[in-house]
Amino acid sequence: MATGNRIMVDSARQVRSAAYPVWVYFAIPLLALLIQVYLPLFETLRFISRIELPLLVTIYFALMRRSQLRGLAIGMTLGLAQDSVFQQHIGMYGICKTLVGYFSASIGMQFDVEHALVRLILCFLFYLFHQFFYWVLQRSLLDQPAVFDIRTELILGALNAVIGVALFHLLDKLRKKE
Amino acid sequence: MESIFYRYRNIIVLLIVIFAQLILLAWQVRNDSDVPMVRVWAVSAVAPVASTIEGLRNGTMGFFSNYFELRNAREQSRRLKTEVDRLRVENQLLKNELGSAQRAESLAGFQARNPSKMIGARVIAATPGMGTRSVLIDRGSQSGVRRGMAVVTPDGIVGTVIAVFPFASQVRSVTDPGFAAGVESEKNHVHGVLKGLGTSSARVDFVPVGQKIENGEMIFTSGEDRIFPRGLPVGRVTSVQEGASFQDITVEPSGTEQAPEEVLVIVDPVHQAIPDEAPGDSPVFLAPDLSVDDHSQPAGGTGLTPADKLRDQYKKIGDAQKHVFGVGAPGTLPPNFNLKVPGVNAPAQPAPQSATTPATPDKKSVPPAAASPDKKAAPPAAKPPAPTPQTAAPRTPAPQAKEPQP
Repeated sequence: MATGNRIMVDSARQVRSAAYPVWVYFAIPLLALLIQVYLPLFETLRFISRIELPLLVTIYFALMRRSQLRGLAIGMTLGLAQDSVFQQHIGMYGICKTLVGYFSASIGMQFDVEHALVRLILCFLFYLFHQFFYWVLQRSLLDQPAVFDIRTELILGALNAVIGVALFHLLDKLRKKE
Repeated sequence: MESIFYRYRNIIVLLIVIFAQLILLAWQVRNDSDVPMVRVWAVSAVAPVASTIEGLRNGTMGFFSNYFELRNAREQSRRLKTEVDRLRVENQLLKNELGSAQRAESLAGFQARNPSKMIGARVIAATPGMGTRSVLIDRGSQSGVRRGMAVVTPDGIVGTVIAVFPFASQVRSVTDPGFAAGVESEKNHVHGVLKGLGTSSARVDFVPVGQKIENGEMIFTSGEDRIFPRGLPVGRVTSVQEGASFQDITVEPSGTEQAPEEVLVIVDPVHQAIPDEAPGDSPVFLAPDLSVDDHSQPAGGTGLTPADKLRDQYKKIGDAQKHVFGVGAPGTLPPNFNLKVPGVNAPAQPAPQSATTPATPDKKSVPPAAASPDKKAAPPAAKPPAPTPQTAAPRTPAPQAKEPQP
């Protein structure tokens, strides 16, 4: 994690893509999906459904891989899987997370994504973008009477951002040593 | 062209992917159908892991649940065991209470049937000494108990009061070696003196050799001792042996056979006749016998059961003797149910004779044999009962149930 005050990319180390063991690319998204669909089964853990773990994982890998195509692929895969598991029209989360993955990777090339503040802000913004775009798709494509409560979404965005920073810190431990 | 594509490769791929997904969405919405292949892949990837986790969770939860249930079961078992112990004690106490109530009822019944005036007492202590047998009862001089009074139960005599205190009395048991009472055998009215042996048995002294007394015969008080009124059960003969001049007769006292807890102190004794038969167990209700002749008779027939017929017969015999049932003080003589009444328990007399004989049998018409059917009404085989002052003292004359109707 960066210790300096600069948040813009200013060194070759900061531009370099992070590498992970192969199993991480399978296990972490699967775990995120599992937590998302399994834990809310229990009454006391129902709040976990409000935490977009697949989105946070998408943002993390897109930011750290610093590749738009890889971010796009990760986002699309997780989004489609989430659509499939959540028993809804396939493509809703797919489109949203594809865009999030693409833009995350794009921004990751501009900022020092190992900076906690950058991660916090990006998580917050991408959460809002994800939720807003999903709401737009619901209204426009599916013609569903969805509601976008900005206050709730801001609070949830902040919560997801905080959890995202902690999650990113944990996932950093899985990186291959340079 | 190639360079433009390469330059905008990422955005083109993004657009293609987004467009493809939009097409997919539109197709699903338009056709209201699903994309099973994608869903199968996703669910196939998630389901086994979720199933494993759920299995692990169930196992872990089941283990802890079983553990805590086992702990609860152990605690519950301990609590239930305590409860069972408490209920057992309570049950035992209630049984004792019930037994006491039944004994009290039995005493009350005996007291009501017996013409002697009695007061109930409870045995509160046993005071066994060297070769002596006595008990303490909770009635003393304040209750009217005096030294020398007889103590009995419905089963038989218990002993005599040998010491009186204000609120308690000491009773010498019939099995005490110092106890003595005049007794009389049931069948041949052989008289003797009952003495305690210091064991659970007693013996009857002064019965000359040659006087017939049988093993198993019931012994009653004779009233000659001026302590126990005549006719109270004493016990059953267990052995009879010929001696030099007197017989050695051992008796098992019936009053102390079961260590009585409640007794009756006779404060005003009244002599009674020796019963025909030894007192048996308490009567119990028996349904009509199926083997009787009219057992198949419907209820709409005569409606008489054997018990009804017997009661009717007894009523007619009583009417023949001008006896009114339900009237008379305790101790008054009952009608002679052995009296032969023509047409009731004897063959009806022929018509010519019935013209000269009143319909209701007169006492004078009763044959002598029927008038005194009881052999015990005859002079006793051993010796006539000695007159005692108590025979004149009672509220009613000494009962002579075995004698013919006056």
